[in-house]
Amino acid sequence: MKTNGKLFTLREVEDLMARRYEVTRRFGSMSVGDVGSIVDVRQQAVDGYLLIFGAPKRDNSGAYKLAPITPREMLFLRLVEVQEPVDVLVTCGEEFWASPQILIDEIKRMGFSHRIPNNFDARRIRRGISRAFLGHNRAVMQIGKGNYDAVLAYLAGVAEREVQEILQREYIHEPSRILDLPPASRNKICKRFRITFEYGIFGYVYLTGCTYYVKPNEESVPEELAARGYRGVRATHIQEQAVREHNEKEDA
Amino acid sequence: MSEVVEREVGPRGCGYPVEGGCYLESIGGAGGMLPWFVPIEPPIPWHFFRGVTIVDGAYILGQTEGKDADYERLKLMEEFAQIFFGEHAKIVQGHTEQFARELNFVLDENGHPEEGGNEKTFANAVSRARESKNSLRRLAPHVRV
Repeated sequence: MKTNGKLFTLREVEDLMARRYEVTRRFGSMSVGDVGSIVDVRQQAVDGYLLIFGAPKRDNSGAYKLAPITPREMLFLRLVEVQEPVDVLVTCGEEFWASPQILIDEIKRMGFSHRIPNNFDARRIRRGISRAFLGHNRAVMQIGKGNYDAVLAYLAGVAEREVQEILQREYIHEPSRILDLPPASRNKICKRFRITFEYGIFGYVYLTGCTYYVKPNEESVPEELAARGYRGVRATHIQEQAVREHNEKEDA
Repeated sequence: MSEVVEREVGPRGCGYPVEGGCYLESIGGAGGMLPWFVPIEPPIPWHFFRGVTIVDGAYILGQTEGKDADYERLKLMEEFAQIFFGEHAKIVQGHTEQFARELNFVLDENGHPEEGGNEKTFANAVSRARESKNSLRRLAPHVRV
């Protein structure tokens, strides 16, 4: 795949994003000695991506300075600490979790677990330091007409039992309240207040490790996976009701 | 040969885990210290990525309006800072993550391992770390009193 000299291929992006670099020659707003990583990606062509390099400002304010970077300018960066712990962004499909709140409830009940490719290096996930940021296709709500208070006031006047129950529920992710409405009411209210949803990040969890679920004929984790930091688990499937009862017992 | 743990697993939104599959996990509060889920309020619009991508978490949190998610973590770390440096201790601005990392190392060094730690090892590690000059030296650059 060829790019025009300013853009990267998706394969390059995936490889470069996972690392930390020290600047060895000035480019954009970066100075020699700045340490940062690829913090943002923008698709510029069908097969070309513009990368944004970000490094924390040296005034300890926590703010970042940003600069677009070309494949040529990658030569001005030196790779550092390849094995340092990393954070990940995990996209949670709306086909499995209709709203982010459903996933949040699941995390509180059973913790978080998400399948990853078998070639992922689990040694870079450090317990209690690495975080999984959670993305969902409908995490961000935009209201085109009026505001959220007006939406809630309107819902309060809807004489539908299910709607009133949803209004009474506690929500950590407030836009999920709209997503969880019965389809007819949701469509009506979205049309009335011109509500749209888009992809975004709604929270994060601290990771505790990476697991390999062994096959029935396996006694241990395959060597190459064990060497990459995976722990083996043999799962016994239980029903959701059993999980709830177990949690209730623990709470009691 | 690595050890295999038996575990009961309930169904999630995407079903049961697949045998032969690798999974990221967050189970429990990593030694009882950390929250199970931290909301980012309001959610941050982001570019869609399919599956799992390595990202710069500090940069993502820097995008939050009002930095509420940072605020929660800052308050948590401040509580730890106050255990070591007294009730007026605050985290130096922008040093929350550095303090969290050092705290993890300090607790690990003093007998509260990343894996297999419990409330007792945590309490012992904290009291040992309070007596240890080396541990306090690690944490001090990120704290102001």
